[in-house]
Amino acid sequence: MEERHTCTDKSVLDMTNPKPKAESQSDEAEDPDGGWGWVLVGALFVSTSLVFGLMRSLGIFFVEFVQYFDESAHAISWISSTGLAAQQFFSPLGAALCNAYNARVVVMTGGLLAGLGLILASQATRLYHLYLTMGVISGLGWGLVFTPMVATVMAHFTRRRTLALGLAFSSIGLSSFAFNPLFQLLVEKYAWRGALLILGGLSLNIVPCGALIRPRRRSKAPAKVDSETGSSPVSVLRRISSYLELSLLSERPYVTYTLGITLLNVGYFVPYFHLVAHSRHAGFSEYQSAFVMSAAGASDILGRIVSGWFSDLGHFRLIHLLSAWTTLAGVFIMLLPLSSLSGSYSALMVISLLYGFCSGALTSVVFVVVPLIVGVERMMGALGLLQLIESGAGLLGTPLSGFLKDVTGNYVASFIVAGSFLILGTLTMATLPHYFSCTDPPPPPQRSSLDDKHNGLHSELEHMTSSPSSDTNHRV
Amino acid sequence: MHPNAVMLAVVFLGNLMLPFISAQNEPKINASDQIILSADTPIKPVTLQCNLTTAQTPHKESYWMKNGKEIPDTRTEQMNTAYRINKPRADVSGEYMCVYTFDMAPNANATIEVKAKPDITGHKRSENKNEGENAMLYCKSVGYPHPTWTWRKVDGTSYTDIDNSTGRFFITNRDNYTELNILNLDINTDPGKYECNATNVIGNTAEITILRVRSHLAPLWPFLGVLAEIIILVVIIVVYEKRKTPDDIIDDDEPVGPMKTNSTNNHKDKNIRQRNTK
Repeated sequence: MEERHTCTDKSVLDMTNPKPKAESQSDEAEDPDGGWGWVLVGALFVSTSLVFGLMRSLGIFFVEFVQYFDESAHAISWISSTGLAAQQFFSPLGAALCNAYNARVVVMTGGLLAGLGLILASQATRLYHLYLTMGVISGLGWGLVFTPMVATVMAHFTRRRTLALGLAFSSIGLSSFAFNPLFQLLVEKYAWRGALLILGGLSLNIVPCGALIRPRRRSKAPAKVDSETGSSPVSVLRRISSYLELSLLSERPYVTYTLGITLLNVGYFVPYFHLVAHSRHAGFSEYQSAFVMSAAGASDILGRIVSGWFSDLGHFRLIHLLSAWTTLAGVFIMLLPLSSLSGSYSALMVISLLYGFCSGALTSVVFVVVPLIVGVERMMGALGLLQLIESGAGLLGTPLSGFLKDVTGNYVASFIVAGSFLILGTLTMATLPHYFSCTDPPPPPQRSSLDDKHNGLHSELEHMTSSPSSDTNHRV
Repeated sequence: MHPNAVMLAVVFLGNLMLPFISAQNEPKINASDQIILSADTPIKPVTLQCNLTTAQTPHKESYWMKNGKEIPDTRTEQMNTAYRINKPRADVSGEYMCVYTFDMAPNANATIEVKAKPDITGHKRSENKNEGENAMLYCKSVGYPHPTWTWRKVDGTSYTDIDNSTGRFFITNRDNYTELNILNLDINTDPGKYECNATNVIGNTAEITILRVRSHLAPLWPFLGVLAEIIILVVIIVVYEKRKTPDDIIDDDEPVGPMKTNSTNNHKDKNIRQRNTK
């Protein structure tokens, strides 16, 4: 809607005077789509690969840890579970800090912490040192990096958000391809301590990525601070809850969407954990099973980029595309065990490729729907809370699928349940308001608790849109 | 003749005949000859045979043993017993015995040796350790007779015996297993290829393990390199931003200030003034 306004105003300006620089920048602020945003996409590409790509390739170290610390594989696997849980748990904190201060400082700090955690881990002498360093400290750093960077990138785009995110998230798949042999080489050459030290240094590359974030107009945060003076506990709590966007938890569309994504997450990771084991179970060799997994990973990367490009063409509403990809992914997950039951390797391969494509496609869209539901300004906090709530799903999904496998003896039940969770997620999303209309609903009205003049960006826009008329009057 | 002399003669002759009599009582077994498995001969089945030729009492049953342990499912009541090895590989070699049991007499057995060249079944291809740590290289083999082990250091094509002047090398040998322990690794002299050699009467085999010693400081250089790269990048980014548009920063700060005063008219004018001057 803002776009429509600015389009007409822009034409008025062009007719009367050449656009001054500041106005072009303000127009960009109203309708950002590219420019510096693409630089930030590159920064997000690097950061995401150093967060999630790195997390996925830590398995190489686990073999070394099992040997060195003489612990079970289960105890060692808690390291990455702690790291992932910390990343998701601290996401709202990162979002709140960005709302309170600015994203650049938060991301740079997060990068420092992530690198510090790995560097300290290289000096670990006991297993719990690793939990604390690689798990908590690095996880905290990753939490401070991921959500702020995603929100910042999305704020720099309007029409091409999904493509930007799709391109950036393709780094996860690409980097896990590259990191696996790289980590193997580092461990062989430098032992796990030296390799962790070097990895810590590599993780510090997130800091220059964060430095690329230009300080944006601080819109509502300082305004909120001013409107609530004093440091009484009540006002402090209210400020904190506004930074964390806790009020979102009382809004039905957001809660519905979060619930849908949480259900999606229960089933989403199951194939990652069990596909190889299931292929071996079905009778295929180790190489064939590993190749199936790699093929799914490759089509995942392709799916992210293609979905990003396709979504931004604008033919369909994002929420409909998300539902389509999620449903398809759920169906293909359910078909996975059935295709291999027939014993045909090519059937398994085809279904895995399709599953990989759909699961990658939906990841590009998941985050972009959030600002459509809560508005661009609350996007930061909304993403943080979403990450926190969906983390519970991951904790539920994998043990559940393992349990089903133990009880039934094969993976058919786990995959079918996982796929059905995805379809459940789609059905939940179908209860969103305006789901069945052909156009996106208007973004929600701003909170009435604050003076509407305090809504910085919006009032900025109002002034921008209203000023040209007075501007032309002045000039003339 | 004197009766004592007759008794003496009978005892003497009896003693002379005793071995023959007992020999006749002992069961005789005809066993096949020892078998030498060679890597060159095609793998065709070999058969070990035992034939009980003479026995005073009927035998109860017979079975085969390998290296002192009974082979399952070989008990039979036949006088001729055979044990067939379908796929003779090195691990098949050993000391085989066919054993006949009797009701009233001790067991009788015959030994057939199946000999082969030793085959090294386990060894580490490479061992990476930090300096100052201890390295353990090992080789496992199968084959009979048990080999004698030697360790050598390989340098291209030349072989050198291990120099233990520093007293850090310890070799432990058992029948089919050898271990080379190197204490307190020295990064200058210890890295290289080590060969374990297994030799017995039939032949010998050897395998090579590569020992690499990592220095403590080695990872520091890449780490410092990455740190330097990051610092340079951050400096470049910050400098580029400061140089590019200082007015941008003023513009960005603009909304913060005027918001506080809550007088939007001034804000509008200020912005217009700014734009006009550009």
